[in-house]
Amino acid sequence: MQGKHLQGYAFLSPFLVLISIFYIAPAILTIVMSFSNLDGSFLWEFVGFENYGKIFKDPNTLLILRNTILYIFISMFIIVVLDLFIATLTTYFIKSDGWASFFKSIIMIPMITPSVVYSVLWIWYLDASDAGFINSVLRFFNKDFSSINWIAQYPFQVIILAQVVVSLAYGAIIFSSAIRSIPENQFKAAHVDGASEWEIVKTIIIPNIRPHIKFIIMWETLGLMTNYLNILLITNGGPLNRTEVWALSAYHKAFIDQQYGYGAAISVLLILVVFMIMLLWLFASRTRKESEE
Amino acid sequence: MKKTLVLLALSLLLLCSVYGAGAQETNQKGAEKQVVTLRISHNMDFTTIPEAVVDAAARVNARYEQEGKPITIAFEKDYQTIDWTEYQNNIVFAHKINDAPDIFAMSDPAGLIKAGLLLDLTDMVKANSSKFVENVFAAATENGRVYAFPPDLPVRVIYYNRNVLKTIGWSDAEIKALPKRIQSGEFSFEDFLSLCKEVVDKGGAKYGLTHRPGAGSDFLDILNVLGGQYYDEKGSLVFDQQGLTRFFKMTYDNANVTKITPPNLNQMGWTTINTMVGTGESFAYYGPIYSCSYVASAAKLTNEQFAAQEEFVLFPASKYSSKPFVVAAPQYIGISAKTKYPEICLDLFTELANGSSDLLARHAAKINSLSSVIAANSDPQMAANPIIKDVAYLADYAITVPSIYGISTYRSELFKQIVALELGQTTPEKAVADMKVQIQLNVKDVVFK
Repeated sequence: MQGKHLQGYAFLSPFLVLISIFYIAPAILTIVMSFSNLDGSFLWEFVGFENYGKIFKDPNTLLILRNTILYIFISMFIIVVLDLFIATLTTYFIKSDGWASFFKSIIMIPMITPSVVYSVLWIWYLDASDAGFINSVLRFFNKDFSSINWIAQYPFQVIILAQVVVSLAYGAIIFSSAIRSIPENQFKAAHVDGASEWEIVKTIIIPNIRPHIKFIIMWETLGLMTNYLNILLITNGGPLNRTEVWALSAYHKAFIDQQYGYGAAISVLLILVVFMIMLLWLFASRTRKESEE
Repeated sequence: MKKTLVLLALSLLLLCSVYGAGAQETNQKGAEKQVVTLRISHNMDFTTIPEAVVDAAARVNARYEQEGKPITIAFEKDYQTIDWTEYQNNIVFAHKINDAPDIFAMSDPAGLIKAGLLLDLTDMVKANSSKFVENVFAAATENGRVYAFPPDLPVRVIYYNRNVLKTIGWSDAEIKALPKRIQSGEFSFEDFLSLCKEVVDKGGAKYGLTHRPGAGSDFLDILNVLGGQYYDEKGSLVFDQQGLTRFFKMTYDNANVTKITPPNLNQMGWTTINTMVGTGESFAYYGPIYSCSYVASAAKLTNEQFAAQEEFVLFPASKYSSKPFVVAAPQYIGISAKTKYPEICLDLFTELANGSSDLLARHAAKINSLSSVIAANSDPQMAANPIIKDVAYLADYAITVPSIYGISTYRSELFKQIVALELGQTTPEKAVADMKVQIQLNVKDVVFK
C-alpha cells in the first residue's frame, strides 16, 4: 500500500515542481516586490511597508473593496441560479439529447470567444452614439428615442451582465452532468408519489448536486476575484472608479502607473484572501467528510 | 562510426568558414573588412525613424570606405507594434540579460536614464549644437547630460475646419486672418471657445471642440493655456490647484453647459473621433499635427484635400497665460549604454544631424512633423508636404517640456477626472480634491501650489 502511495507521489512530483516554478516562486517574488518601490526603471529599492500603508491611506480602497465584493456576490449568485436553471431545463425537462446539446452549445459560444472579441462586441452593442446596436434597435421601435450612453451610465450592470454571460456554460455543464448521474428511479418514485416538478427540483435535484454547487461557488468566487479582463476591456474600471475591482486596481497600479511595488502589494492582499478561502474550503470539506463517516 | 565523426567535423569546419566569410569581407585593396551588425529596434507606425538610421549607415559605410576604415555597418531590424510601456519594459529586461538592441526607440526617456541604460550623447550633441533646433533635447536631459536623440519635432496644436467658418458666414478675408490674430494675441482662447459655441449654435458643425479619447499630454497643453502649471524649472511635478480648477471647469462646461464637446467623447473610439474631425462634424481638435494623417485617412481624404480644409494654429493666449504657443514633443531614439559599438552608433547620429538630414526630412514629411535638425526643415521634401509647408512658423513658438518624474500618474489621474467631468458625474472642485489625494499618495516630491 505504501509503495502505491510512493508511486502516486512520484507521478505528482513533476507537477509539483512545475507549480513551484511557475506559481509559488512568482508569488514569493511578488511578496518581495511589494516591499520595494520598483518602477519603470526596474531598480529595486526597499521601502518596508510603505506600499501597504498607501493601500490603507487611499480613499479609493474602500470603494474598490465594495465594488469587488458586490461584483463577486451579485455575479456569482446570478451565475449559479442561471446555471441551475439551464442545467435542469436541458437535462431534466428537455428529454431530447439533440436539443439539449444544441442549447448547451449556444451558451458555450461566449466562453470560447476570445475576450477581446467578446468585449468589442459588448462595446459595439452598447455604443453611446446613434450607431450603437441597442440604441439603433430602440430607435427603430421609437423614433423619438434619444441615445443612451449605456456603459457610462450603467457601468456596473454592464460588467456583471458581460461576466454572467461568459461564465454560464461551465457551471451549466457541470450541473448538467451531475443531474444526469442521479439515479432515474428517484425521479420515477417521486412521480409515483405525485410530487410536483418544483418539489422534484427542490428535494431531489438540488440535494443530489449540492457538492457540485459548492464547487461552482468556490470556482466562480476565485475566478471573479482574479479575472478582470472583461472589465478592463469594457469599462477599464471607470467612469472614475465605479467599476474598479481589486485585481484590476493591481494591474492599473503596476502596468499603467508603472508602480510595480504598489501593484504587487495589492496583489499580495488578494493572494492572502484567495489562500484563506481555499483553507476554509479545505476545512469545510474535511469537516463534511468526518461528519459523513 | 569514425567516418561519420570525421564527416561531422568537416561539415562543422565548413559551416564555420562560411559563417566567418559572412562576418568578414575583403575590400578591393585586400584588407579584411569587419562587418559590424547593429541591432535596431523600433515600436509603432513611424518606421521612417529606424529607416533613416539604416540609410544613414549606408552613407557612413561609403565614408568609411573612402577613409580606408575596414568597417561595414549592417543591421538586424526588430520593428514592433505593441503597447509603449510593454515595449520599454522589454528594452529594460533585454538590458538585464545583456541582449539589448544597440539603437532603440523609447516612449519615456526619463525611466531609461534613471536605470542607466542610455549612452551619454552630450559630447556629440555639443559638437553639433548649431545643427539642432533649440531645446529639442529637453525631455532627454538629466543633470545637464543628454541621453537620447530626437529624430523629429512634432508639435501639438489646435486644428480647425476652415469650411465650417465659411458655412457660418465668415468671409474669406476673416478666415485667412484668424491664424494671424491668434499669433498676435488679439484672438484669445476664450474667443476661440466662443467661436466653437457659435459654430454649434449656427449649425456649422455638430460639435465645436474635441480631443483624444485617452490619457495623454494634449490635455496638459490646455491646462497650460489656462495658466495652469504642471512642472517647474527643476522639472519637478507641480500640482497647481487654481490652474486645474480652471481646466476642469472648462472641461465640464464644454460638455455640459455650452455642449461644444460630446459628453460621451471618451467612450468613442479613435476612428469615430478622427472621422468627426476629418468630416467637419467637429469644428476643432487639439493634439499633435502628425495625428492629422489618421484624421485624413478616417475621413477618406488625401493629405492635400485635408490640408485644403484644415488650419493648424497656435494655442491662443488666454486671460491667464501671456502668449500663444505650441508644444514641441519630439520622439526619441537612444543608444544602449551596453552597446559594443558606441563610436559607430554615435557616428550614425552625427551623420543624421549633418549630411543625412534629408533622411530626417523624409521621416518628418512622411508623418507631417517638423524636424529637430534645422537643415531638414528647409529640405524640399518638407516644402512639398501640404500639411507642414505653411506651418514652419509654429516652430518659433514652440515650448519644450522637460522630463518630469510622476507625469504618467498625473496624466492618468487627470484623464480619469476628465471622463467623469464630461459625463457630468463629478464637479470641478471635487475633481481637483480627488486628484490631489491621488497625486499626494502616488508621486513623491510634488510641488503643491
